[in-house]
Amino acid sequence: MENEGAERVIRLLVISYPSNIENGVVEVIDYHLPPASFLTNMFGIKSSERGGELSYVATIQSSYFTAPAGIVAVKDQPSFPSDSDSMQIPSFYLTNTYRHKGLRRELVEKRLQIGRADLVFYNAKAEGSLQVGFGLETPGAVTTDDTEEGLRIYVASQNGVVNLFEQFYIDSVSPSLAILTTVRKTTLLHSHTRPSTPNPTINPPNPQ
Amino acid sequence: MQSSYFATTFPVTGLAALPPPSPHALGGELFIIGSPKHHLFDSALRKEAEAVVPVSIFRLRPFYYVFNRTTAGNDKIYSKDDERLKTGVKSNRKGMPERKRWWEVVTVWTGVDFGAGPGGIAVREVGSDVIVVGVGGGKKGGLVICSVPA
Repeated sequence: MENEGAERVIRLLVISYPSNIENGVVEVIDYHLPPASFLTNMFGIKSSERGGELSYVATIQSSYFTAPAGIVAVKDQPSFPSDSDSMQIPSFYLTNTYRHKGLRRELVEKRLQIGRADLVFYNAKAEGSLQVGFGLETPGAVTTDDTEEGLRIYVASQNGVVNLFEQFYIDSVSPSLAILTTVRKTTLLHSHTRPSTPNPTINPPNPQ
Repeated sequence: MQSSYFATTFPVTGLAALPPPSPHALGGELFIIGSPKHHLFDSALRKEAEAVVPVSIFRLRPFYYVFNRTTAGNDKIYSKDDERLKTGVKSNRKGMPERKRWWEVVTVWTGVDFGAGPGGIAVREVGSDVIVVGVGGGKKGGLVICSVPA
């Protein structure tokens, strides 16, 4: 993401393993763009300001980041602007190559090659993570063709499979379905279960 | 919710996508980078050697498989049961495709002197062209920049 202020900044999300290979985190780093001009382009003159520099912003840790490998940011649900520079931290999708640690990782995921890895969504506004896809086999690269909301997320695995995840919102229903929905909601409320929320539907991967 | 997938014969190490051409389109075009000889990269790492690893960049365009029906948009219409569409169909003895989304694949670039193992890929639409940047790995750390029509 890029701040349109006086100083052009690109906010980067970088997967890092600062302490050991068991604990991956996401580092938030700002890249201060050098002012583009004829002289700087032609002769490579560096700016005297912070142009071209990297500055550390934050580190995001989560128990859902079991073995982060790929990351893609979306503009939806950014964090609240910071007091210092009014910049926001974007929400992002992150793939974990492995879900378990220790012996279970070695035996189940590496030796038996049973897909247990997952796709995680980090909501920067809520500062929480959510598993949105699971049962994947060693996923790595991830991207989206909709950087606004992340409606379609593509996840590549080391076994050559590229998975597509799509969000589905229910924002309108037909009159007949509305009646059924009302009845169902009433029933659910009477049974003291949690009412439905407008969050995207999260279902297990389709084995197709 | 996982709605679709496709499989290649090699590990896909980099993914990039273009925005969809219209809001109601199936999705944007997808660019992938990988090596059919990816095991050479693994063996080169173990031996600390620089192997020649062929790397390819593919361009994939999603389309709907529509059987004998007239539609608009980027759908493809087949007037007969296409044999190609019977491949890769699971849990269906009749061989009829259970899925609607298919991918049209075009090879954008292939090279062998790219470093031991492909890395990432990035794409951006600039005017009437699409700029594709692929980054290699290993000691050579190859970098390829392609321009293809949008």
